[in-house]
Amino acid sequence: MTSALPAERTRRFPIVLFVAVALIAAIVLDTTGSGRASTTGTARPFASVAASIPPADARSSAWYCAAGSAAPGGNGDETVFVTNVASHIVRADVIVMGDANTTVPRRVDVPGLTRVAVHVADVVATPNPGVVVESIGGPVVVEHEIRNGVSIAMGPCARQAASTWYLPAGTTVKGAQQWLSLFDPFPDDAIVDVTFLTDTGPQAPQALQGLVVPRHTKVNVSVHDNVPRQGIVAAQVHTRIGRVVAEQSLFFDGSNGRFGMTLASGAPATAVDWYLPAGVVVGGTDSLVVANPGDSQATVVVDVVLDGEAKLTPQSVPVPDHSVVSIDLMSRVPANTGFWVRAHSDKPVVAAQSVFTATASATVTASPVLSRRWAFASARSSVPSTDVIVAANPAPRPVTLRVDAILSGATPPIIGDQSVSIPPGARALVNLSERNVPAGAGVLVTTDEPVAVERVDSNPQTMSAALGIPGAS
Amino acid sequence: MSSEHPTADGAALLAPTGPVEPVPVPPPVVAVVVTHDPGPWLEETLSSLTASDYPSLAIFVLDAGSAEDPTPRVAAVAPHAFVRRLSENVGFAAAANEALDSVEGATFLLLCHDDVMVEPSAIRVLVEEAYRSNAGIVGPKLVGYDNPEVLLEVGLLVDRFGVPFSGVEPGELDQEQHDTVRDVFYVSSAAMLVRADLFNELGGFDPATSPDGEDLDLCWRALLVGARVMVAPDARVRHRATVGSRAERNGRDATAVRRRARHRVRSVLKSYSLLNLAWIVPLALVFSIGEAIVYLVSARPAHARAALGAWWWNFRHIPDVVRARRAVQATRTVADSDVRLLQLHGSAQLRRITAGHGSAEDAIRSLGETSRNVVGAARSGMRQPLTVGVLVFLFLVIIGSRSFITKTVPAIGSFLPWPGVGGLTRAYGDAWRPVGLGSAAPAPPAFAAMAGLGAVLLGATSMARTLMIVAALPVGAWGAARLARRFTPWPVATFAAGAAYAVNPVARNDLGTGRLGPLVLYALAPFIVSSLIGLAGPQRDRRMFVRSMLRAAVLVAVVTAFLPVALAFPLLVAASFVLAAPLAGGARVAMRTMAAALAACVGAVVLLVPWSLSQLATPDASAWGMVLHLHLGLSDVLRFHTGPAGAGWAGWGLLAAAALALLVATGERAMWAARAWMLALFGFAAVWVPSRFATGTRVPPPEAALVLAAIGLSLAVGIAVTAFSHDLRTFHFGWRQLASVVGAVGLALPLLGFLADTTHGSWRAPSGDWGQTLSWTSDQSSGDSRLLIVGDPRALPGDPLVARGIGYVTFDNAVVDARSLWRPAPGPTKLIGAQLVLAGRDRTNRIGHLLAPMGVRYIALVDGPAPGQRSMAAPPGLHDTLDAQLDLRRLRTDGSYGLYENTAWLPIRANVPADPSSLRSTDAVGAGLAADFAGARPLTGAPAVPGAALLSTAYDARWHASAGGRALPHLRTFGWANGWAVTAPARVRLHFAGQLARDVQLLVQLLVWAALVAVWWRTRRRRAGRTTVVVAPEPELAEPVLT
Repeated sequence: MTSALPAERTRRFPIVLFVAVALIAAIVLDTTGSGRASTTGTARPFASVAASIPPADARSSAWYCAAGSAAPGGNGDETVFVTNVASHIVRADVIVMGDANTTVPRRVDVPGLTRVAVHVADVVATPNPGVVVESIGGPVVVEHEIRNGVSIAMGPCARQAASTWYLPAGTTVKGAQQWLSLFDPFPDDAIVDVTFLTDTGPQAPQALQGLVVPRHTKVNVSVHDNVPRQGIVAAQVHTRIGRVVAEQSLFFDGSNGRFGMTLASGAPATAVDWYLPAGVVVGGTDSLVVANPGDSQATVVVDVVLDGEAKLTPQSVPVPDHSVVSIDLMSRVPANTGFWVRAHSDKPVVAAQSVFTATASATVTASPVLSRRWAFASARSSVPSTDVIVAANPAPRPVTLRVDAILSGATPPIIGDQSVSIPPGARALVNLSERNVPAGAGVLVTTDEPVAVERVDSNPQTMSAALGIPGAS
Repeated sequence: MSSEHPTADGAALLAPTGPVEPVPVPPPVVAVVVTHDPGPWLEETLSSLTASDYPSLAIFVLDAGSAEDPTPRVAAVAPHAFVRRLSENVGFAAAANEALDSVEGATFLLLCHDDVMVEPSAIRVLVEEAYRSNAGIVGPKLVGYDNPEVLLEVGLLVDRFGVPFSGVEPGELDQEQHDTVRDVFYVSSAAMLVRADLFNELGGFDPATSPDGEDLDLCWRALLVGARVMVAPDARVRHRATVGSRAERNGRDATAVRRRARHRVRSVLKSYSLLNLAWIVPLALVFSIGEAIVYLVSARPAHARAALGAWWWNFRHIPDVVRARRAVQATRTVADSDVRLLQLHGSAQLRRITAGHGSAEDAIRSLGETSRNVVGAARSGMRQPLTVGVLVFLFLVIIGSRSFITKTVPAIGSFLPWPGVGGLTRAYGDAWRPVGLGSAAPAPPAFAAMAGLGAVLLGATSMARTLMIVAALPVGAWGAARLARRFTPWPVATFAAGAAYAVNPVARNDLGTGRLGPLVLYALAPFIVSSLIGLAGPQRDRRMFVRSMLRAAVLVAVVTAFLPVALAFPLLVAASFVLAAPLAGGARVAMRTMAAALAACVGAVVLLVPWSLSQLATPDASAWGMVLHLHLGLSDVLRFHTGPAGAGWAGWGLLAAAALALLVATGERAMWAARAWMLALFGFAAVWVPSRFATGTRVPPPEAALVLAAIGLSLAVGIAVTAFSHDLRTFHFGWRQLASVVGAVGLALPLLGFLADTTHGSWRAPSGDWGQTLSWTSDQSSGDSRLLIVGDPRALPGDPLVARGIGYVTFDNAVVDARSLWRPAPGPTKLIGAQLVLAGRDRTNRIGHLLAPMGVRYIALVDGPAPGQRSMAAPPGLHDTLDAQLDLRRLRTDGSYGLYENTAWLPIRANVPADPSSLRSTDAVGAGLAADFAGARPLTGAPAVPGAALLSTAYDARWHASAGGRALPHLRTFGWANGWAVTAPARVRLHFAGQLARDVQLLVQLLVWAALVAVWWRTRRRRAGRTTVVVAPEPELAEPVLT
């Protein structure tokens, strides 16, 4: 018997061929392309830093200022600086939350490109204020200044609450008070666990586990009472429920040779790269504090970049798990030589700078991000001081730097020729005091490549340093 | 015996005259023949009596008011018979009772109709049996008058409610299978031998139970006095059954049906003891109600009325019933428990009705015989593997759906709970749909279908929902088998096609993810394809063509109602045939299929007017049930692995089995195999191509598009099996034979996945749902509010919208039910998505304020289709986004989802003491940020304060508000909502003025459906045979032969 008639064979062949070709073609196309559907979802830029410049088209934004006081006798009389980085007027509500029953708003209209200062105690006198600054209709940047006698510390408020905070540069040596300000600006309570990494090992005081931070309330944690007499105390805050804002302030009474007051914002996340642009200390100590909250040892390469031609070999520092180390930067830096620091770790860590002079102290949480745009709500501190903007360029190419004041509805350039070139790996300093930048101005720094920018305010009695507020270009 | 001759008038006393010799004579029997306007068979009846071999027989004719005196006719045939004429037609029973007075000395009375033919030995046999068994009443075997080989009755039983049973099927031939002398409950009055003294004692028949009930009543009373009622089958009597026409007996005469029911109930009320009546009557009432419902559903309203009217009639005649009852109970000597031995258990009526035998009295069938026949058929069927296969499949479906059946179907996806029939009806009929932020678009006809199904199940909408969901799989499989029958009559092949469709993961994925629309498409798609193929063939009968066309249109309409995008399904089927034409031929069939598909689609649109027109007018793809495409690799698509169900690598088996059709089929089978494969390729392409080349576009749900492929493969499998049987032998042994083995194994492989999924009990659907978990948020004490559920669109219940990958859906007062399905074009509801995106992009930290004008009080952020499930994580960063909002209070949960309360929430109906003009805004997205809602309160029956009355629904000029009898000025608030200026304290009433237009739309739709029913009815005359594609083995046929 013959097989299928020729007519059948002819009819079958095109069908089978078509099906086969279609399937083969589909297989080929499927393997050559991903074709994966993009799910945009939501992505918050600069999520790894506490503060960032809100988007220009933001309907509303909020800033949270945790540290500070608004009552006579409180540690750190607080003033909030609100600077409108848009050209149109923005409505800002400065809301002072004393506790769940004390929430006092003060509405402020901030003209375009203008800074407004609000003394918190003028809104409501409360010893433990948490301040929320909300802007409606435009972006603002917010910093706060804490004053304790002659000491002043100024730094940005946070623009996000987080479930985790790292504050590495603390100490509870004799004469030092380390305060942790935990602020819950939300309408529901938060429950947190506060642990510490010290130079003698991790500590988790029982009293600070399951600590309730009530809604619309700030809780001050006296670290020095819970972890006394530790040379280095790196605080970690983890929330079980809710989110908080964390800041750290240190007060030195001089009994251990340290004076002054510091203010540092927390880092909401660990990172492998950290930048500290402003390293210059005359007659003091400048340390890089690295905390490793992870479960395995981290090796941190600390690159101290000197001003000028001199070079230092990067230093590799092991940081054991659940520990904190302090690296003396001055031991390798020639006298009177400025520098900046970049640290690269093989595991996520948190870095900060701790500076002590004979009369003043400052702590700065390093920046894990680089940006082409940085803002400062206040160019100058409220006391006469030398205020310097320092920009470090880690890129292998030169960067053009522009520094403008935000003042009275305009952005006059601070640098005469309107731009400065920063060589690769170098940094640039802009002395705002010498350039007579008014105290009521904000500062806007723009570059053509991502850089890190810091502000240092100092006078013989006090010192303050803080990284700028990065923003999308 | 009297020697009197028959006289035309007066009564003849049949009393012996003169002394009687004591000679042994058989006991005298008087045959009492009741007649009224007798037909021509009277002579035959009388002749049969005269021809009886019983020696002591007298004939007594009782004429009940005939128009013409039958005496001459009687005299001509039975000259020794006696005739008594009554002046009127008093009925059979009353007429027969005349024998009580007219006959003396008879031992037995043979009561009979005037249309019987008694066999010569019948009377003798009856008498002998009466003596042998000491019976009070003996009945013969009744056979057909003209067809004596056909049995009519051989004694009858009843159930506890008096419904009779016979051991005889209609048309059953007499093969002596019932020839057993036995006790029965009653015998027919067509011919019954009654002891004269018993008849006297009982007072004769009860005229009130005549006709059609006097025999049951008499025998029941006889039993109660201790008499035996028996049947002696050796006595044969032919019966024409003209007392009560054949139409009456067949139950088509409503009067006869009513009568029988009444008389039966009367007998029940008379005969039972009071104690037994106490439970018999309520139970009988319940059964009567059930009987009536079944009759109504099966379009026999007269029977339904009779079932219930019987009780009412007896209630109206209760004094007479009581009197009769007293007489019966006074003479009874036997307990009901003894009589019960002759009764059957249960309700014979309902059983007979469900077995399709209609009224009890017209198609009497023994329950025992029925059961025996059913079991016998089942046994013989069970010996067939295919029947076993079907039963196993049904069993597996039940096992796989056991959680759905025993607990509930979870409210996932579109498996949302159905409200009651009233709720569905209102949802369908109301002019305003409160879905999302509301819309005046016509409600989907699916609500009407759901309401109808719920009504059929007596309001059990939950059961209706479960039924629809669980039955989809077997219905689809049956449809696929039925479709395959167009191409092969071989049961194995049709079974294989149905099995291939059944084990396809498509339906199980629908069940596991809650896709109601695709599931309905799965169930009905084979029928649609079958209709299209039938319409594409040559039409010999215009009526059948019209009916087929209507059927196709209705099927497409039903599917479209549940899945709007399915309107394109017939076109895709036809397009696949058109594309296959250059390869496989049959261009004319393909074009006719396309024409039929177009017509079906147009018909469906017409049937679904006005909803269909509003759908066609909306450009929003999501309103059509289209979804944003998720990435599916080719491998997943080809194995139908779009959800939790599947068979892993074994899923390739279906393709292998279907490929056999291409490799082995010849002739017409090869052509249809090509079409089947083209259908499959269309289905695969509809899912994979957008996934590969057009990500981010809206496409039909993958499970719906893959139904095309499932049908194509199923059809190919059926053809493959047929080809295996018919065509393979035409080839030399070679790779085709091996391929056949592979194909056979391939068909079995997907079964593994099917079996695995049955173990879950709910087809891998989660056990909980968000509706139950979040129902507590429906607290309305502070005003109406909306629940907003956010997350991966696939995880959300109902019909979510999507904004940059974020799915969101709202439910008014947290009522998560089916009324939120098939939402119209989203309109301002899209603003919610825009606000979520705004928050996600760090453009706001006050999303609560933004959502406040929408009445959103609670926001649930989910990571899976049910609590505790994290299989579908929310878009990245969404948790952080909502946590960062200053006006959202995070509530405690079990940790598997986030729940927030909006502290800035505004009730849906609110009264705000603010300047209404301040609530106008051109910025619809951000209007809530700038608005001042201080002092807002719900709009209730209390007087509203001056300010604004707000209604958080999409602006529509037909919304009106009035206060104190005056209309309030209408405003567009927040750029999209309704508001009114309230100038003085007064109670504010809101109403929507579009109901009249909606009522007109409903009327139009009703008329359309009425027209369809009318056309269907008019074309119902005859039922042509199924069109079957006879795929002849001869290769020279270019077109399929449709017979």
